[in-house]
Amino acid sequence: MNSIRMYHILIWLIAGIIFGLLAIKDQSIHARLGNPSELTGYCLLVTIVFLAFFNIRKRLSMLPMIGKASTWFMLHTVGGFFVLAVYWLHTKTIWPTGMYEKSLAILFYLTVTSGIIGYLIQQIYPKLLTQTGVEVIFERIPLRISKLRQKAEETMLKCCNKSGVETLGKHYLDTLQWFFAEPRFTFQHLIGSQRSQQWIQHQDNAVRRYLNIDEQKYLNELSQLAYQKNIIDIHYTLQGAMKCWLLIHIPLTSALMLLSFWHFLVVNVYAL
Amino acid sequence: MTEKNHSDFDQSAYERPSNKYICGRAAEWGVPCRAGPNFDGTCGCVAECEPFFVNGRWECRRPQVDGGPCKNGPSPEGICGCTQSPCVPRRTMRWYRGRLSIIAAGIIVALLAAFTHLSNEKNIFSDGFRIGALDAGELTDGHTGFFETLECKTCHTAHESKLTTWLMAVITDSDVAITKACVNCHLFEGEATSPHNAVFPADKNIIKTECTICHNEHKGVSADISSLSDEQCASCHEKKFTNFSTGHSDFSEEFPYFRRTAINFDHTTHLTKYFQDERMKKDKRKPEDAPAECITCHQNESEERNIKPLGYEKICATCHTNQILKRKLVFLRLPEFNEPDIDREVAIELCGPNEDAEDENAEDYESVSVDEMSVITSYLMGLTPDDPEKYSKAFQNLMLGMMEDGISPLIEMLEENGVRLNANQLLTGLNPEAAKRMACAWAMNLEYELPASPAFGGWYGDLLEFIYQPNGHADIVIKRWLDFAVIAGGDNEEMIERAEVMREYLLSKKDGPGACVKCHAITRDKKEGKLRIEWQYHQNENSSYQSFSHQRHLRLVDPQGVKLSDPNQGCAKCHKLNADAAYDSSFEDYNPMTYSSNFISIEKKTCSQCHAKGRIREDCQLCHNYHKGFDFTDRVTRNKN
Repeated sequence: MNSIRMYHILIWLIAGIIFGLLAIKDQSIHARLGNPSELTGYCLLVTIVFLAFFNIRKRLSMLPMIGKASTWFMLHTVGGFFVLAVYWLHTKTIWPTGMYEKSLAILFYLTVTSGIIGYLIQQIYPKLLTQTGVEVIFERIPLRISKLRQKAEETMLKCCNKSGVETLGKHYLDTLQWFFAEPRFTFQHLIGSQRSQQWIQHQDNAVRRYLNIDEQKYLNELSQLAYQKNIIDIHYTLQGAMKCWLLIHIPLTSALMLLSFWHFLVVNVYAL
Repeated sequence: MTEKNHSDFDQSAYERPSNKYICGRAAEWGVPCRAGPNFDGTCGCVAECEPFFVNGRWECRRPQVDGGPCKNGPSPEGICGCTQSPCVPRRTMRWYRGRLSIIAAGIIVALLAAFTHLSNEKNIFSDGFRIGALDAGELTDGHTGFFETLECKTCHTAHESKLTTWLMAVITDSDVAITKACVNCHLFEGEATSPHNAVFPADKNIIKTECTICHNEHKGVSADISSLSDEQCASCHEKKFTNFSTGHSDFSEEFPYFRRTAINFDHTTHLTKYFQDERMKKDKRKPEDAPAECITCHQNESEERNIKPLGYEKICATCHTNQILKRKLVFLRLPEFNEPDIDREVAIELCGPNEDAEDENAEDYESVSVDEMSVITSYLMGLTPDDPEKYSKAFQNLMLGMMEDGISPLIEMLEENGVRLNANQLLTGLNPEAAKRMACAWAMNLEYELPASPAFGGWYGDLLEFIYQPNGHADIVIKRWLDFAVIAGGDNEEMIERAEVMREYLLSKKDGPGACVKCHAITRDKKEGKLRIEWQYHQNENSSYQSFSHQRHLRLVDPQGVKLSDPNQGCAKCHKLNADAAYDSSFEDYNPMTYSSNFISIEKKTCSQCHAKGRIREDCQLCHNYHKGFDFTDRVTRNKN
């Protein structure tokens, strides 16, 4: 067991112990006719604020003393599950009754759900990306696609010029041009399907029988470029998904934070 | 295929993922511009470089990654020789994320503003909609009416106040304010914020309680907001235990018969003597008339802690009504006079001539009465009842007054002697003419002859006495006289002594009028307090923290085919007669707490046979109430009416 794994287990363990102590304290306060919601509420608020700081930390990456992003991500993940448990401890119910409390619950659950989905994405997709054997910076994907398209068109033109036959050129215009135009098979890549590779293979097989040996060499090059493009597509899709889920998670967090502050205010005015 | 040297300045472009814009060409999957868009969203790559003026000429500064200096070079004016048409940069995903976050926060702010401020009669937002921004949940059924009246303000004083006041409520203790609101409607026998509404010794470290400690609203219409766990009860109590059957202390020796009953009904004598055949025969009744079982006299339907008797008319009247009718009240009695003080002519003028009267000029006056004054008159007139020298003139003046004004002198006499009750109530139904005729007869030194026997009781004069005969149970005149007797007193020893004598007469079990105190207990609630007669049946309130449902327990008996009269499984399973108890004598000292019940006290094991772990509930709240004397204020009952 490596040290990182040990480190993760330790953080989970600490979170579990803190929650256990909190639950015991909650029960103790309840048994002494106190108001445990006050303790769990403030604990919940502090934890949510801490989780929200993860986004700010990303903007302050130039600061050396605030820890690694991976550590923050780990803390964010553990904190996310911790906050869900504390929420149930705080409300003592899965579904509250008041209108604004229901709204708060909806926002909370949506934020947590999007967070869990994001967590799963962050756990699964990097492994899939590693399996491609290629590293690509997301912002350079358009350039990479553009270069591959350029190479594919050059290859196709070379073939036509040398062989004097338009078979491969026509085939490219009918099928591969669409493929090289932009990232394709997005949904299939999201779900880990091999459909795109089958499609490339199918296009290869479909035209190969009509080509002579020289033309087949160009077809081989084209297929190689198509497979490279397919890998870039996988990167685009998976890296895009790893960014896109934040389009839901962060706005929800923003709304949740604001409504949590309102809850804090209302509770202090009306009940504490 | 992995880009090598992808971060070297001369091998790759410098990516700016934090920018708000991306190149328009890259967005359309073409070759992106090298420099990318400007911060204002315009294309930054119309020219491939920005020529630099050095040594008197312009030099191309196209970076190595784009091929280094171009062949054309800059123009003499310093304009790049490699220009292209501008692209249209697009917004980045990060920008959309930030904007969505602002929109989401804005929606929340807008909704809160709409909920809290936009409601008035002209607005589409109803009050209910507005409250939504503060709605922490539905109130329980009993409190839902608040919403229709004062809304949140019923309990939350900060509601709808000025913004500064509203915000100041953050630092004030809302629990105290809510408790004040609670006691606007809820009433308790003791202090609302004292544990159990009770008074504790000063040395006890008792915390002040607020209603919200135990009762938390906004949990739904049917939420149970009054339940407490055993742990919560134990948090205050010194003796802590986890369950009734093994931890609860034994019941006290008096349990549950702490306080004397309002009615002196000796179960032992009734069950073992009066209801036995011989006694019933003596009263010319059949043995079947005797009560067959407990519920013959005690109603067991819809009863909780107290099994209330069915009432006098149903269970006592058959045997006891005759006793009541026989016990008459002697208000006035003509005492012996040494000599008459009333002028015969005045008497004749007021009453008319009387043929039976003795000759006025007779030498030897002999009083028709040889009795003493009645103890009531003696007390009211402040006279010694057996000394004619002292009472003769005053009593004859009273008679003269009665001859003139009927009962007016009697009322004055009652009022002059500090009768706190309305004097008219004591003389209800007294005919002034009857009083006058009786006084006239006595003035003539004659016995008053009653024209006809009274058929239904009431006031009447008979020979030398002015009498009230009760007309049945709960006779209001007799009750007033007995109430008068218990509070009668005096300013000096003589008066106190006479009051005591009168009290002995009126409150005598054996001879007292109406025979009321034969059954109704006379009670002094506090050590130095005044006596009172317990006219009404009272619930067993002494241990008001306890609750018990007879109904639920009796239901368990009948379905099993066991009769309530069964000596082992019926009522007697818990309520066993104690033949040795000095029941009657415990009514003598007026102290309701020195009580010797007809029944043997109930022990804890009687309950723990069933209420034990794994059998039937045994939590604290099953048998104990937290509050004492729980009721509602006029505010609630008025609304109910």
